[in-house]
Amino acid sequence: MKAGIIAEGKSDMAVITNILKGKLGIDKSDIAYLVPELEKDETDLAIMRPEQFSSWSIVKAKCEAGNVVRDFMDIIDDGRFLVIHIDSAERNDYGVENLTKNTIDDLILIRNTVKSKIEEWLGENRRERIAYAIAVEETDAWVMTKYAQNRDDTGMLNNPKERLASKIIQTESPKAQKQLRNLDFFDRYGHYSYEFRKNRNLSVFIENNNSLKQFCDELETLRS
Amino acid sequence: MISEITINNFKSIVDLTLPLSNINVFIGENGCGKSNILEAVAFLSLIGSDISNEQLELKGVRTAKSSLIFNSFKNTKTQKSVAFNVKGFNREINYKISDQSENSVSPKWQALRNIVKAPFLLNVTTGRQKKDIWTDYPENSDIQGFIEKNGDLVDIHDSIDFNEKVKLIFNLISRTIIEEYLEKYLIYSPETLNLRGYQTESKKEPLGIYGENLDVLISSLSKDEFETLKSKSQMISWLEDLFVDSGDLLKMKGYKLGRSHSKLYFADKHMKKNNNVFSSENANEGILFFLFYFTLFLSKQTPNFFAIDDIEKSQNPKLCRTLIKTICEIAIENNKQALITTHHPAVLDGLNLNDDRQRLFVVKRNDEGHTVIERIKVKPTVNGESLKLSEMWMRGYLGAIPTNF
Repeated sequence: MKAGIIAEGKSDMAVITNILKGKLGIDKSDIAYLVPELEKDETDLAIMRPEQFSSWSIVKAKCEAGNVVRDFMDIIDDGRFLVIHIDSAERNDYGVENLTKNTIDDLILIRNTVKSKIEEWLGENRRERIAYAIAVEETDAWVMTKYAQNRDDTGMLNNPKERLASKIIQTESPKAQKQLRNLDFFDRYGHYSYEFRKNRNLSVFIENNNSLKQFCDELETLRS
Repeated sequence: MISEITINNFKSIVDLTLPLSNINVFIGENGCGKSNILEAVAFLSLIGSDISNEQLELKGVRTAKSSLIFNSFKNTKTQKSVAFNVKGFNREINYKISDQSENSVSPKWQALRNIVKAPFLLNVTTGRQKKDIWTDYPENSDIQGFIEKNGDLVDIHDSIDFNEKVKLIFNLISRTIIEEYLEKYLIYSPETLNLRGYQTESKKEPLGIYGENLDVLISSLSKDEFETLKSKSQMISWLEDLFVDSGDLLKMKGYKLGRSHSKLYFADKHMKKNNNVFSSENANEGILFFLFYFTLFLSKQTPNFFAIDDIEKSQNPKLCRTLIKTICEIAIENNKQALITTHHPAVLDGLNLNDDRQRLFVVKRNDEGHTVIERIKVKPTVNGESLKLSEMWMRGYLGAIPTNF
């Protein structure tokens, strides 16, 4: 095991998986997906609300509980690290308010403020070997970098999910679109972000999204 | 003991090094290649004799034509030989095994060996003193130069080329030790019907790979071994006694109404004294598996190096944990070496990973589909409040679970 991922959803995990491959060469078999399904039995899962499976609230809960961070990182001796993902789109809901998004500096400020919020949740469970996958606004904005025509930061997009869906319609054949719709979110977003598995692609894409660049820079410091 | 085996080009294994000790437990999702690892070692174990489908089956290997033995990954050229590097007993040998039959259903395997390292005893005279010096024999080393440097006279003289003669001696000695150790290797996979004595598929002596002849092996244990077996069996809560009815006399008294060949009997401590004996036909399968494993590790007649596929069969989780803890103790005491696969988390809780002789490996397929392993080591600073390994596995912290969640 090399890395664990705490993320809002499966689509985010898929994108991060491809980034880990492209940036650090980490194989999917070396990644632990720290999802609630693995910690609960079917009896518990049956009474859980949908938002308890994936959303920023589950990321917050896992950070605050601390046991995932502690047990995953502190027991096994293999130089593993943890990726914590959250989208900034719902930042008002988790207490990061009044931040506009008009300039690159605004995007950097949002990312840094959200990171501070996660560190606040982690408290004493904060570790050096944690990389923060904070997507401004959503991970879809990271995927949108592969379609970027100019140097604009895709973090400026207000509705990256819809923009990405529209790009897929433009670029994929009807048959491919149908096949993609039949995939689960992990495989679908794994396909959307497949180009991230090459470092040379990533090094181009990060120029169009500062939050993606900062995440990749943090990963670089964890290279063992 | 074998300290390391490297396997190349065997089924899903492209290039895999196993750093081994006494107890080596392999976990991983179905189809990741755990059994391929056990089978590769079985394939290797026939290196000193006849590698044939018949011999492989006797060892518990699923046989196949050679094109299915070699790697067959997309976009890679097929290599037509399996290669091994084996380290142990202070020796290192390379093996290359090729099929001479050109992919028939009955492969004709041919093995080549190459000694990389072996200890070398030199009988050296220095001045007036004669002494033996052990050194390593690396291939292509300057043996004559070594001798000239270390002594005046070496007690090996005849007309054969000196280096050739030394090589011949090393080949002989090294093959004998490593290959004799390997050749008894079997993959045990006990089954209830075989343990009960109903089925006798495996003719392997003294213990069949599916559990045959457990009663015979127990009856041939030394007094000390049998006492140890009985004492370890006390962890079975209902067991008062166990014995082998060598003359099969109890069968005639109606204690064995089925068709079992087993002469193993048990006494239940909760039943009336004059009516508490029953045969392995009627015993719960848990104790049969339990006795099988204990006897396998205890007996001096069983192989010193073997594998067990799915050790958890019919074991309660708590018993599973105790079983592993106990067989670790027995294995270390009796110098046994085992490769064990399991799908049961409780097995992990019986391991003490702070003891280097007990090892845990996660087996997985990488992005290309190749079987790879990772040894799990715990940090020395971890205190007793940490999660159990079983829970870590179930939560996905160790890997070895399906990822298509």
